[in-house]
Amino acid sequence: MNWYIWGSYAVTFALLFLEVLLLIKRARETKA
Amino acid sequence: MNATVKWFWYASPQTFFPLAGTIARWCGIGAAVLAGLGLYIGFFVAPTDAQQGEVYRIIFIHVPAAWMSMFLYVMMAFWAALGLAFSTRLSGMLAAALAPTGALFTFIALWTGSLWGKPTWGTYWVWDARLTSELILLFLYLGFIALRAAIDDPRRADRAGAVLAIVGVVNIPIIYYSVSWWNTLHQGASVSFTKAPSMAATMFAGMIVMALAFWLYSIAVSMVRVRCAIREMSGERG
Repeated sequence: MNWYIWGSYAVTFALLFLEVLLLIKRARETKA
Repeated sequence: MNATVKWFWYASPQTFFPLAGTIARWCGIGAAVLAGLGLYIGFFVAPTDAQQGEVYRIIFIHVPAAWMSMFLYVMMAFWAALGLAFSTRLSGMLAAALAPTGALFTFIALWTGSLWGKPTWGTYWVWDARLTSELILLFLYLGFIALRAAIDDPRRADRAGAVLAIVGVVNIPIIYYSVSWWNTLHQGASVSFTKAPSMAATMFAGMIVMALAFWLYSIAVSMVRVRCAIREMSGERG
């Protein structure tokens, strides 16, 4: 049962974190 | 400077650029604080559900993500329509900046819904009206992103994307009312404007706090994306 909860939260926050990382990378590239 | 002049003042990408930075910073901080608070309420304050047990705690990300998927699409279509009507470059940029985050929240709503569906319905997926219309929303977001990326001229990309975004808005009321219009496996609306919430106050509070966190997060990342787009546009112009 716990797998369903942790699977939801882990994937959600991993994807949001990935979006932020990619944005930081893009922001650095456009600044340079 | 009166209010009307200020609207036009910020319609220029160059003048909007510093404002977007300030908005992104404060919304980012607000999103982090509210997400922490929402997770605390969701995991430590909200009680275990009498019927579903612990698995219902998926609600604290599933419902806010589903709300954001629809809200961001409406906002995206609004800015796209504004750009189409007034040929303002910043409107197209705002619409384009919202699309990836909207697609992400749509995917999260589908993913978490699927993981909630298995222990409660006995299946990860079923082709019922709510799930299918939400999947169509994901395709609309991806179509919008792909269409814009396929056209080199930014003005033409804005116009073509705007038409797709505006036509796709018809899907939003279909998603929202699908559980009322058709016999679906998906439950009815968790929260309604006309009725008091049917869940415990702490559950409701956790859901609202997470929704606010997602909302501020969306604003923050969209503002950063708009700033990148403005910089890229300035670079292209030389």
